[in-house]
Amino acid sequence: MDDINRIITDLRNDRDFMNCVTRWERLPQRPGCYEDLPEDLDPRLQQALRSRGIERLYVHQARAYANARSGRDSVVVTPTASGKTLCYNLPVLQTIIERPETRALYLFPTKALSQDQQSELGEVVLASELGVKVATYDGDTPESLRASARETGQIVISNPDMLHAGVLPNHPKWIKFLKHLRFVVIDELHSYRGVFGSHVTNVVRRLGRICRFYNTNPVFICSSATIGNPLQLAQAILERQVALVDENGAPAGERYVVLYNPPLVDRVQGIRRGVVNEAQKVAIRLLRERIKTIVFSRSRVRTELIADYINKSLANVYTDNARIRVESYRGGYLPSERRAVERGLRDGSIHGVVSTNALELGIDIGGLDAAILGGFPGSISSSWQQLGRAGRRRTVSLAILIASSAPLDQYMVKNPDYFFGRAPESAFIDPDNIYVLMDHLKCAVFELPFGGGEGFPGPVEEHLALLEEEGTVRLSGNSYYWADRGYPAEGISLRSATSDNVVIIDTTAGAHRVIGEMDRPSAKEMLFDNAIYLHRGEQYVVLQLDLGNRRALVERSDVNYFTDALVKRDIKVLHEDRRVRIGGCEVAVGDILVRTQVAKFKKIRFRSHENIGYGTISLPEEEMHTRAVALVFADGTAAGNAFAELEPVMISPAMTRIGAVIRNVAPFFLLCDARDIGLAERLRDPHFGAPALYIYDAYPGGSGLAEAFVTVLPTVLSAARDLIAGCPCEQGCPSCVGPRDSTEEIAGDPKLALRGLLEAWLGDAQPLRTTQAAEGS
Amino acid sequence: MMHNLYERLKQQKEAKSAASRPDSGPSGVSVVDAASVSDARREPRPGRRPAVRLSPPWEQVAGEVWRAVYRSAAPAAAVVRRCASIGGLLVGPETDPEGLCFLDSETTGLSGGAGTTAFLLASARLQAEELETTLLFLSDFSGEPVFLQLVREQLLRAQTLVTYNGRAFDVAILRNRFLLNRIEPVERQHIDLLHPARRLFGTVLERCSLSVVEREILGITRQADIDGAAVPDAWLRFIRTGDSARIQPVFSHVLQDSASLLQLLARIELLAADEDGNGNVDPLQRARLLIESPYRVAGSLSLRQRGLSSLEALACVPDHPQSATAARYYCALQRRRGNWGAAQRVWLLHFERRRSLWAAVELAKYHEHRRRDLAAAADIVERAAGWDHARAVQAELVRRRQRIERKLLRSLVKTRAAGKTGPYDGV
Ligand SMILES: [Zn+2]
Repeated sequence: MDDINRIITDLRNDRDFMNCVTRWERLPQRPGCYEDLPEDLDPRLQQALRSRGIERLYVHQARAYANARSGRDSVVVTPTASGKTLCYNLPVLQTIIERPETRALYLFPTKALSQDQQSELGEVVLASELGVKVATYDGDTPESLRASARETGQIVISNPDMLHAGVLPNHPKWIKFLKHLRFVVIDELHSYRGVFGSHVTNVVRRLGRICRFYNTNPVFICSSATIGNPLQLAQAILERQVALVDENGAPAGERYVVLYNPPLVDRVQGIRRGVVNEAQKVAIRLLRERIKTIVFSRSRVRTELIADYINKSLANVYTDNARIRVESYRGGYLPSERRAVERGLRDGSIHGVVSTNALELGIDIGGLDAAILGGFPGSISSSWQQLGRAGRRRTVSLAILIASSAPLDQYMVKNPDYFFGRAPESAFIDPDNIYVLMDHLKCAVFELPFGGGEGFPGPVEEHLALLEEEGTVRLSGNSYYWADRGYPAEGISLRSATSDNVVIIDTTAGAHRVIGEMDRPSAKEMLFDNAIYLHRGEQYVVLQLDLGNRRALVERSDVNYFTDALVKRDIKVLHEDRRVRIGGCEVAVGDILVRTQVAKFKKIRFRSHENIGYGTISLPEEEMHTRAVALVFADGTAAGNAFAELEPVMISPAMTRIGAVIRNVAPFFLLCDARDIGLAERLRDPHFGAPALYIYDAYPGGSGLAEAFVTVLPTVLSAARDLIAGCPCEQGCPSCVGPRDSTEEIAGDPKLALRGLLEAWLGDAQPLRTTQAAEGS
Repeated sequence: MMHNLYERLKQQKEAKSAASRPDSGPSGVSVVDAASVSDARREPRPGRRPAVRLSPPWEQVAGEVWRAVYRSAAPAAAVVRRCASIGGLLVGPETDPEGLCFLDSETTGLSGGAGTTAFLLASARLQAEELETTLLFLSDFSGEPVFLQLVREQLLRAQTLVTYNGRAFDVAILRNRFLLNRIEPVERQHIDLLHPARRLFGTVLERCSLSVVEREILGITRQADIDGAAVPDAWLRFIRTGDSARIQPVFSHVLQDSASLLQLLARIELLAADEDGNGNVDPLQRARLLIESPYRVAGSLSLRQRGLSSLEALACVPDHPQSATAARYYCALQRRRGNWGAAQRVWLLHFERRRSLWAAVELAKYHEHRRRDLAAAADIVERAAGWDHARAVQAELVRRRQRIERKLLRSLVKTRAAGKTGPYDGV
């Protein structure tokens, strides 16, 4: 494509554009690395591949094939669009051709992804050419199709939630499938991290136990995006040795990665042009040159806005022809609409797409010439996933990260070496977390009476005895049996988010048409009465949010603003179990209620984004009852004294930054994901009568992390101190205390201030460790 | 640390189950349940449970497995025997009446997953004029393999199982249990009374559970019975306490269930043979059951004829409240079989006597497409249009008439054209 080369040259020569560029990085092209089609590959399969222009395999595909065929579990790490699906489809299809009774289970992290797999993927078409039966089995599968999926599906596509609540508790119905289960494919393995990953690991344990009952020992084929520790994560989830396939054999054209900081509009206050307008401006420039472009945005509203602005601008210029089609894409659209956008991107009829991170996952949308990131997506690995959407095998591509004015974004564009040099984040899980483990032990007993440990770790007998006291299991003879009328998997969710969705119904002119759906907490923030709801280029006003019936009635509207709810969160201590002195402060453990309230909304004018008024929202609070620890910086404690030394205005920001450091450090010790813990600080806490920093479980009911945090607190704090001391940055960065933030009140160097604070705090921490040792045994 | 977690977990789970239990069962029962479950929780640890003692006729077969045999008079047996000799709706001539096994089981849960266990089985058999019922009972989980072997023997002795919703539940759960204990399952013919009962009584009863059918159709009143939904907890409570008084109602319950199966089977056969004067049955549905029942056995052709005639009779009494539905069903059936004459008679009747729009449309279609008599079709539509109809119906009729008129016109033009060029045709 000459267009992309031309636009790259244009941009390089555009002084205004280049003034905003903080790094123009060229990634050289990479040749492909191939191997011949495997010798044992069935001629029909070879033929089918050749008819698709596949004469050779990429080296990673060949490795994955060899591993799976020789019975070795493996994890394949490849960037997007590198032929990942063939890595597992090829060995599975070959084995099914050889032995048609073979069964394979494909697990995808989301329902949307699994449906894509069945309806769209080329290789599944390939499967049907070969007469292989593929069936989807998830919450949406109608009852009438379920029996045939179980009986005749050779490849069954599902998700961990369905395996947990639908398949395993009813395994006798799946006897035919399970008796011949040879492969389990876990796609997007990197999404199973933190508490969610701990749950999934236990589901895998249960699957293994049931497989042993049916005398099967399936081979696992996992695929993961590039994260810091894919092999470690795969081995943690599968709990066995796994082979790593991480050489990427797919060729890639030359790529330019550009970091872009929008121009200042107010030099004095340091205000920059907004990321929405800047992203759409750059996108239009590319789209007009017929560059296939994807724009990632950080919220649903922004996705709609950017797509709308782009389409309006293009409409002005290309009134008669030049049909440049740009669509928006996000969760909550009708599945058929999402499929249509994916298809349009693949067949080229759609030239541009604006998406939330929904398209960051492995949905096949073909190659694009350019990617624009409207804001830093929050993690290095997400950034590379999104930037990687631009990239062709042979031609040049362009990826631009546009920074917002948030400190994290500003840090990234101002410190390009940090951005380019930083390794992708690692994923941690703790499948032996007692909360998670006990839940799954119950499910496991329900599935089969429990004799010995059966693949579950630790003092299983002791755990089961606890469940017996609780009255749900019973020891009879030498085994534990499920002794409750209930169905345990029903009450146990693998995810923190609720699955009850609000359906959005367009009632314009007496119609009653479902246009989309939204999870309940988000609905409260986006579908409150009188909200302006943007959906695929249309504007609606919400007539009524009916949470009882899980629906929102909307009607077409035509106003010059959109709405943005102001979310308030507060914490109420329900019950304090105990309070100890650890690590130089008082630490309280107990139950809290995290309340999220949307009481007001802003009206924001399109384009200019100025605030033109407010409205009120009357909706019940969203409540989450969970477990928390509070670090109380009371007078007389080392931490309390250290904080008291600070200027009063600095206490609150200092607490925020301590929270940021803890968020950086704690996942490593708690084996969780940063999103699994919530943080909140209160300058004068009404419950404790002192400044307090809360660390709570982001799962309703708690996930055991808060309790575990008490044990690791001294370690976390000294690790935080060492991290700050050893960080090569100047005044704070995302890896340590967070980047400089011009809006907060820490005078001078925040890094220095925090380091001083922590040193003062931990100065007397040494003797207290003995207290912790006694406590922790 | 670990200890704290346990404490915490316990508190939380207890709070959770206390909160969730009241709405888990039907109201009324749930309160008792909640109390009894926490009751059970306070019971001593297992192993220290007092030994189970059940009084005769119960005998202990093995460690935790018990058997009892009951006999009762079975007047309904005569009906079943007669069906077996002349062929009935469900019981055919090839059926050995003594090979019927009236089967009911009680389980630890109603969800039917892998963790649901059957702990009580009633299998009743005809012996002369008596019903002999064998109860097998499991007094703790560890006895399950022996229990299942005995269940298997019962099944092996049977030729045909008779159950109520057994296909989806009892037999399915037993199959699971066999599978999980690696015991070879037994396949038997199966008469599931739920489906014919639904057909016959579904429109007249509020619910079609066995207990409702028993009460409303068979006129059986149970004394001091335990609600089926409370059975799982009764057993779970029993195995923790060993208190046999708590399980006794479950035995009477299942005994009555299996006896009711025989009575229900007999009643359905009588209704099918039209020998039961009881009006508490839906005549239309009875006719349909006779016509389309999948349970029909060879030789029951006369039943089928009878179904068809009673359907026709219903269809031909336009004042009967079910007449319209019967007519639709009857005509669809006759049309499918190509008996256009029979269908046309009923359409005409409903067209003329009930001014049925449905009949008008069917007749018009019949004349237009089947007989290709456009004038007759137009006439029907014309007359129907004169009736007092809702606007939408009117519009529909107008469209139909316009179409027929266009067709009429076309065929007229064609005939005329053919008349002109006729002599030269084919030259
Ligand atoms: Zn730093």
